[in-house]
Amino acid sequence: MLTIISFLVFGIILGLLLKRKKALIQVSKKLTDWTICLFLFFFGLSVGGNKAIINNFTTVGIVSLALAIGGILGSVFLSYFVYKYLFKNKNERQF
Amino acid sequence: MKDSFKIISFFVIGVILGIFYTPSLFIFSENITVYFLYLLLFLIGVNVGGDEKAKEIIKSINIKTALLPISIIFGTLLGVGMFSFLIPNLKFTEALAIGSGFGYYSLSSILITKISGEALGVIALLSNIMREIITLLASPLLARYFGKLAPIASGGATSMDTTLPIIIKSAGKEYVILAVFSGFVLTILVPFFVSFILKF
Repeated sequence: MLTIISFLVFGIILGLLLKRKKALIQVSKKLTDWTICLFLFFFGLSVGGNKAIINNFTTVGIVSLALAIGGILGSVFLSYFVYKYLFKNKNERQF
Repeated sequence: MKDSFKIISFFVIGVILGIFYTPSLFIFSENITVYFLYLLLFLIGVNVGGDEKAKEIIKSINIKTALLPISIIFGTLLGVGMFSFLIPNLKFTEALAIGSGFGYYSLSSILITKISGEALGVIALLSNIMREIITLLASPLLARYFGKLAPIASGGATSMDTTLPIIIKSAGKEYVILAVFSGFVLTILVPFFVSFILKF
């Protein structure tokens, strides 16, 4: 965990130092996109070759969808109360 | 939305090729994942640190605004935690770790693959992609029935970039800074939460 966090923090510090060099930050953003695409491609290759995953793809899909919906419902539910008590304009028309 | 599909298509093409070829040359060793992970974490750090909006975002912090990402974190964990009991063969902590991606599929999937293996990494990837796609599709409805913060909550970490346009459309321009702030906070917290939760 410490290694993971230190790479992130090292990046943040460097980013803060290079803040004025907008071109460099742009390069970093491009590089991020390409790193993600490249990772996903190789990850896909590996997943495609993994029979345990491919043969259970429906299950994997359903589990993923359930967790996505669970996360959305839970966060929307709590944010509703934050909105209702802290943000909502009293004059706003209610539905 | 275009960008998300472009990125996801790399994964889909990879999977299709992988099914037919399984070339030993491309066997995805654990080492490669680690290099990708460190590089990605470093680059994300540079992007976050170099973000011009960072100052404005930090200025916008107060108890009221901070409550939004806090409610998103607890709500997400509550939701996936409860749903995990319906899913056989999925540990409670694994569900929490996947939820802690907050829609940030690239980083959460690579982290979870590295820590817990490919099978869980795939679920993290798909689940967090779905969170983004559902947000893109459902934001107008969410804003209408669950308040203006609902699309931001649904978007999670993505509310600062990919889902921001639809959030503005659904909730209104006055929520831009809040959406960026919330997404920014969650983005930074993803690696902390995922790696911390998977320790248990």
